[in-house]
Amino acid sequence: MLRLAVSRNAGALLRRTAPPRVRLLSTPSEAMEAKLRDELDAVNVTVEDVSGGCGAMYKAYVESPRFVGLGVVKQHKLVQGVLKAEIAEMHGFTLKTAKPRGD
Amino acid sequence: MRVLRVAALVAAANAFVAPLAARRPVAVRGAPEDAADAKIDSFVKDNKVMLFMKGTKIFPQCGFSNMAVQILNAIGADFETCDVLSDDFIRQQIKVYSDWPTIPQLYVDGEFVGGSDIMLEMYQAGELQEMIEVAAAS
Repeated sequence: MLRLAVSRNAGALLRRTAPPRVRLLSTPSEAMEAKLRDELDAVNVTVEDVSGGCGAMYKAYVESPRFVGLGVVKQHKLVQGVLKAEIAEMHGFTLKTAKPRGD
Repeated sequence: MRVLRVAALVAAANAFVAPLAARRPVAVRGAPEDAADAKIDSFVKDNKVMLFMKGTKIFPQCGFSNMAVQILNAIGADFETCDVLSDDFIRQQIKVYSDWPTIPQLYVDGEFVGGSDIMLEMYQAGELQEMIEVAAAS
């Protein structure tokens, strides 16, 4: 009984002293993927750091229903619009867009 | 009375000078951009196949620009290039002119075609060859 109470207290103590759970900051790639999913309803999206670590070059693949009926230049412009600030900071950005299959 | 007159003179002089001073930086800032726009315009209109790139045909200074040159060479296109690294105003203004954030940029027959990703896609689909042949024949 006593042991149980102690261990319960220890649990409470641990909970109290443990650092608050921090959501890990997402990587720039993940942040860009999230933006593309949010703003373009992108269903299939990957943004990959291909700089070798310095973060100056990214390769993206974006599949979005918004692209249906648009030429490839307009598709790219939609993506560039969402990532305007990010692309301005990069040395290189390479992009492949696609319409979801079945559309 | 004399003091008042001097004050009035100073005020008048300020009223005259201030707007001039305010106007001048705008004109100075605008001019090179307009000049760059005009240069880009003539590049695009005078050349059926015009590539804005980093470096030159012989010595491209970026992998993407290199790929663009290789594609145009593979097609056997007769093309002109502009090295944006040699002119900082063109380097910045071409992005505004085309509403496109990256370099290289290809124009065929005065129309914006795309960057190196689109060039590669079109080349692989056989579309770029066709577009350039049509432009060359026109």
